[in-house]
Amino acid sequence: MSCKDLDLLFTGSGRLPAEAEEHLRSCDRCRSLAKAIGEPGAAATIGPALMARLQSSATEHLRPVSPLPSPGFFVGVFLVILVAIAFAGVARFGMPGFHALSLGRKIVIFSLLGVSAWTLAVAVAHQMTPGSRKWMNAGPLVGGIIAILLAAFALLFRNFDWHAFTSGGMWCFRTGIECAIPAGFLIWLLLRRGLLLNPVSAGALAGALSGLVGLTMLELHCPIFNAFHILFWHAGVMILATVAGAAIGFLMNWVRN
Amino acid sequence: MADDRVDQDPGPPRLEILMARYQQADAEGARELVATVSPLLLRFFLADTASRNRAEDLLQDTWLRIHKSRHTYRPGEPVLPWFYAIARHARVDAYRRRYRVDKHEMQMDRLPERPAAVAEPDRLPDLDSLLAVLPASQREVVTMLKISGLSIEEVARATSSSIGSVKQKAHRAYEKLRSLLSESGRAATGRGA
Repeated sequence: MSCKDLDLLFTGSGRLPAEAEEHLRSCDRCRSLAKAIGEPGAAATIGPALMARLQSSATEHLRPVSPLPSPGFFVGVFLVILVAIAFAGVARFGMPGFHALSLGRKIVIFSLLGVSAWTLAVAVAHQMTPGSRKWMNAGPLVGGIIAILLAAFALLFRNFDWHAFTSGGMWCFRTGIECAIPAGFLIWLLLRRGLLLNPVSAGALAGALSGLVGLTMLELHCPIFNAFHILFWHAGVMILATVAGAAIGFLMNWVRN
Repeated sequence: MADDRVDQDPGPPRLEILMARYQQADAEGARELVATVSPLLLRFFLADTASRNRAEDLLQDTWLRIHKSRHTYRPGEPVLPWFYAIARHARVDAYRRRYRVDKHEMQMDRLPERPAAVAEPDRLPDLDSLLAVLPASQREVVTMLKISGLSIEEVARATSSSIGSVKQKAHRAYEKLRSLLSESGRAATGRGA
């Protein structure tokens, strides 16, 4: 047994196995460490006045509260919001883009959008409860999803033409944002039921999920299969929504402190 | 070292029951919960600050946050990571506030330093003075593991990190402590000779 193996045993609370005891007998460094961390020092005592204050603040105006529903419930609600708003947009503008896509493209694009939506919804739901199991860091998660979507779009749409880039794109961008804003508002209404320990991460994730609503609507509606158009104006909705969400989270944190 | 948690660890099931009673507005349960958890949280804050007043302020702030967000605890989940996640967040917020205030205040010629515990030559330094030399993230992990008695999984939940990251921080902290203890052992031997 090595000193490193012993470290894992130090983190536990049970009795050390015979092998570890044997190592301790032969290793001075580990023996002195075991002795030092085995004595946790004096327990913190709290004076009666402070304890009374703490107890009275905890019991003052005490009312029953309903615990938050499970993360699965919130994931389900987030996905319902996504589908409802994307289809409301499609109901208004139609879905010529979906009909014009080949079956292969439909499968790839909407599978990726579905997996991304589910992943982001789970990540947002985990932000609501302190001490919940680590899911994934917000930055790499959102960055990874956006990178995968951009790569998929670049591979699927090989028409690289700058014709009518701005005139055709502005409508898509504005409409995507118009779908992302109500989605973001509804997600925020749910999010504020939880305790957001990291508002920037929570904001970025919620923003990315809202932006995905706009992106999904555009993929269903827009019949322009130009790579630059999709990469910039469609994916731009998700990127802008992510940045806006993180900025709102940052502002909330700044105001709170 | 196997028995260091016996007096401190109230056992998760009991705390979870108290937390459920707190959520149901049972005042007696809430008082018992405060009495049980507060010494653990105060000990956690004291490991990071030399000022008892500051630690007590943090404790009060933490209980206000706990009270306001008690509905976010889901029955059946481990309760200690929930408390510690809120506590460490209160500490981070306090640190940021203090940093902003300090930026606008005049610096003294020399800042008061945290008093180092004076160890007798033939004794090992106590855990608090050992922890004081560790970087904040490693100190936090060792404090939760060895003083608060949380498991690796609970520390990972409380610090929003992975189990691997907690193990790595603990290992690095122990390595640093080993070196420190060896040095202090050699110094004591030198004085004795």
